[in-house]
Amino acid sequence: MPRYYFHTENGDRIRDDQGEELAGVEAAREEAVTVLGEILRYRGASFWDTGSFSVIVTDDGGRTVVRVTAAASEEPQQGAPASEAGR
Amino acid sequence: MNAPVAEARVANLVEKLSLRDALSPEEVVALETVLGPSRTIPAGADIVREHSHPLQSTLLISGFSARYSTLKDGGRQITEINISGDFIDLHSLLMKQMDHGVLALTDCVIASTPHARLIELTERHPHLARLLWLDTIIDAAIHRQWLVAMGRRSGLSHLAHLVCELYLRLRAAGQAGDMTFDLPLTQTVLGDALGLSTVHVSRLITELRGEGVVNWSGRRVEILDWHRLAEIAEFDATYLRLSNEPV
Repeated sequence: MPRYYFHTENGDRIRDDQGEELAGVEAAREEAVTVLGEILRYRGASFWDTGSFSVIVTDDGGRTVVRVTAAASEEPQQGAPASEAGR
Repeated sequence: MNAPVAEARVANLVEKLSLRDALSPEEVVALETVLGPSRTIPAGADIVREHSHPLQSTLLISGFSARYSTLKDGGRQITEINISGDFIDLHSLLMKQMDHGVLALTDCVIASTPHARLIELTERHPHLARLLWLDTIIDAAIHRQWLVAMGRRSGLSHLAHLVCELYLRLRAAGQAGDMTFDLPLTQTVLGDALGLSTVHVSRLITELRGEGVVNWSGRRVEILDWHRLAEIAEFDATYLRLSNEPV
């Protein structure tokens, strides 16, 4: 079975030198989403400090085969200040 | 002649039980005499199969084993890690059919005792019977804390909690040094115990090491800062019932 390396990126890149043997790219995709979900689960609002988080999977040859990213963004607070002012 | 060897087989169990309440010499002998011959189970093999109807209960004399359940998609959840001195399927005496399997995580030395002999033991030694009952109740308490951890703790807190628990349990059974113990488990096994991916477990171990809380390389775990580790884990040892109180 091929070995895949799961690196993470949120500002810094944390390299995975150990890797994991998986059946193929489809399994690596599944694992990448699981890893991203697990890491984000308890981040809470501090996720906005970094704004995005990626899991990047490379194969034995160092090629990126999977990339999955979650992103947080600031949205303009529509109408909120206006209605405050209106009171 | 073989009395010292024989007693050594129940040494971890006796140490663990007597931490909670002292055993009489007769009770120690009774525990040893119900055991059949020792056998070795290789790492990766089932010690007790899920859905089987064991006619004996098995004592783990050395090694690590795990209670586990599997799902159709191949997912595996470990529900408790057992250490030497644990009666891994004592509950099969009364439950009859196994609702989970028990797997050897390392090479394990085990010895079994027929249920009929266990019943005899409980009738002749009611105090010892209560101690064994307490042991299965502590198992249930461990399951409750694992449930809390699985559902609500962050990954780091969950891993820290497992390290605290294993250290105290190993110490109670006389198998840990001063703030250090052997944990010959793969990250896949730890992941199945924590309900987390191997990749995440590996990151969490790096994080615990990075915080200077543990020195964890290979199979050896050294706790550098117990206070901080327990703080990360929000660890409350009440569930392990480490107090010496009569049963």
